[in-house]
Amino acid sequence: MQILLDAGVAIYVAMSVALVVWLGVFIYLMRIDAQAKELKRLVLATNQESTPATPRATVEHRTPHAQ
Amino acid sequence: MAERLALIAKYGLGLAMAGVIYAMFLVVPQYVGLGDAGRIIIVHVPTAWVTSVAFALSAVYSIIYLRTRSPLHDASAVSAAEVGMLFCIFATVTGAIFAEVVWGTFWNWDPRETTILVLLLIYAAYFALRSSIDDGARRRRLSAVYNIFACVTMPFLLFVAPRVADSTLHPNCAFLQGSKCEGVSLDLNGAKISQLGDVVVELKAVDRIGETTRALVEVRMPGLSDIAELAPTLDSTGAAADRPEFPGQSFRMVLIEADPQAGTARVNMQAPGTGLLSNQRTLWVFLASNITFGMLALWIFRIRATILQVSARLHTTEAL
Repeated sequence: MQILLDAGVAIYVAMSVALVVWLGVFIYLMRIDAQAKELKRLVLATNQESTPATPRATVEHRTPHAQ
Repeated sequence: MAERLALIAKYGLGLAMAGVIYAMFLVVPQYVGLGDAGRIIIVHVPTAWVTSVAFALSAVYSIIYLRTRSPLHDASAVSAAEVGMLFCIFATVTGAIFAEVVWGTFWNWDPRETTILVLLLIYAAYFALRSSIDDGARRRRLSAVYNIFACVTMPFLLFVAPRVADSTLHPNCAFLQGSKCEGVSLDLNGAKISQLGDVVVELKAVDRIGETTRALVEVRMPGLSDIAELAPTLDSTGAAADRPEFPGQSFRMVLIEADPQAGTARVNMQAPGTGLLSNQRTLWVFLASNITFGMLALWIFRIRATILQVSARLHTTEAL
């Protein structure tokens, strides 16, 4: 373990740790980004399905006293 | 097509950040006095910039919310504030690590450290306010108003207050040439005691030895943990010559001007690393880091805003 802390090696160790941490964060962000998009798509689709139908009415013109 | 471009941009960001990390450790050169600790500015300064932009963006969305009353804009305002808070914590932690390595302490209530802590508390109160109101519309309205006031304080706390302070250890004057960092004026016949950061300084003598002007200054470290006499000097051209180190610290005392006849001197602290960004390699890595962290913040903001907007839509649907 001591070799990892040697002056010439420590900077590579620190860089490797930083890169691994970034890789983890990047993968996490990619996954959560995809899931958030999918969730948004589902919610929008559900909202469209559950939108109540537009009320309709038929207007009939009648002429009074017309037989 | 747009989705494919977005995917390419995300992978590009992943590679760019990996490149910035590589360059931070292996391309940016070491600096005398700072050693490897100087590399942290490649992360520290961009995160502080992103913080200010995110808080400003949050306030813009709050203003839009107050005009439109759309919960989706409120969700965007919260997301931007969260990103700002995240990066503010990151800037504070990286700054504290730098302070420990260079100044010998994680926290010493330097004006910059104090103001960023106040900013963190102001935005912590924003989230506390949001969580304390049950009624959705009222919560959104009140927190939007609070957010605008919080944003107004941000430029003062991040940019103005640390520069107005007489002296700061924060390397405004070390990294950025032209930044104002006046130091403190001492007068043997008047105000001969003052403070540099949290160190008390007292002028004991100003004299000329040959071509050199020397000030004898007693320094008392915080809590009187150490008392020493330092003798910074000016050379014949009036430029700082001897810059003695403060006891137990890595920063130095510099004599800016002195007048032996009048018995006056102006001294300041100087952190190591003067002119760090004058190196081209450091400068370009620093600029790339600013852009990359900006893009990362934007990405996190988009993800968080999407999640909160979906939540807002669901609540609206339930209310119907």
